[in-house]
Amino acid sequence: MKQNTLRSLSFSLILLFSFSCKKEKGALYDFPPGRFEFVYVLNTNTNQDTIIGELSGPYLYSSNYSFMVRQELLMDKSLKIFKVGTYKSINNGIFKAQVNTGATIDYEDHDSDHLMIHFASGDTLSGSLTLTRKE
Amino acid sequence: MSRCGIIPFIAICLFLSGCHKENGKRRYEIQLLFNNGDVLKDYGTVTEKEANVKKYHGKAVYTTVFNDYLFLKVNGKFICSGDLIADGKHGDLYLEGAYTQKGRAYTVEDGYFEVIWRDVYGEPLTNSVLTGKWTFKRN
Repeated sequence: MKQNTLRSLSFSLILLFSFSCKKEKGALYDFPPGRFEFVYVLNTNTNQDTIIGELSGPYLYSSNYSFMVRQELLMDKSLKIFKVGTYKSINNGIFKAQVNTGATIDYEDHDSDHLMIHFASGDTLSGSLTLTRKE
Repeated sequence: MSRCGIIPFIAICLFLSGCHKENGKRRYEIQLLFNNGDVLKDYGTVTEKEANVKKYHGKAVYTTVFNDYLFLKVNGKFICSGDLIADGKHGDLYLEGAYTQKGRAYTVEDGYFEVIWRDVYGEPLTNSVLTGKWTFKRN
């Protein structure tokens, strides 16, 4: 009797242990992958650049979220990828775009079809990236 | 008595979870059939076992054709952007195409792609985006 209880107890313990291994949900778990229209605004000193185009994502590489720009002939040729935060958090994560554009994300909001982030680096660089789902 | 039953059970559990065999990887062929008549073909693997890919890349399929891509799964379609290095040329690739899945095997019969070949400074080599049809199948 005692042996049986012991056996079933250890068996249920092993079961409980294996079921409790659940993976933490990513920051964009409720933002399914797709194609998006993007508006990228970059303020540097007194200049403001706005680039509009299409991208796909989010791609998850080594726990970092990224969006790949669908290339057009006339588009800025160095604008290929946006790196936006990490699996754990978008806010306070790193934003990277073209060469030499790196900043910290200070605002993020999304629903299943839209994503908006603001980023800044010191007083000289700031901007936003807004995505709207196409597919 | 109880020890006799539990120890082999734990041993089997440990043995099973320690199986890191790379199963679920299959060889695939991709073909880019340009509208101008050019054809680019490459072979690579696809990690068909979804649990492995999902763990690291979310809803996507990982393949090593050309430059290693993640095909995002969007409404029954694969969507992908990335670099393309083939035939000594360098460019940008965009792919989309409806896929079918039989068992674990993926097939794309009639996908659409865009390529922009670039020079070493990143300038486009043609004055229009090259387009065509792509196919993807287990080899």
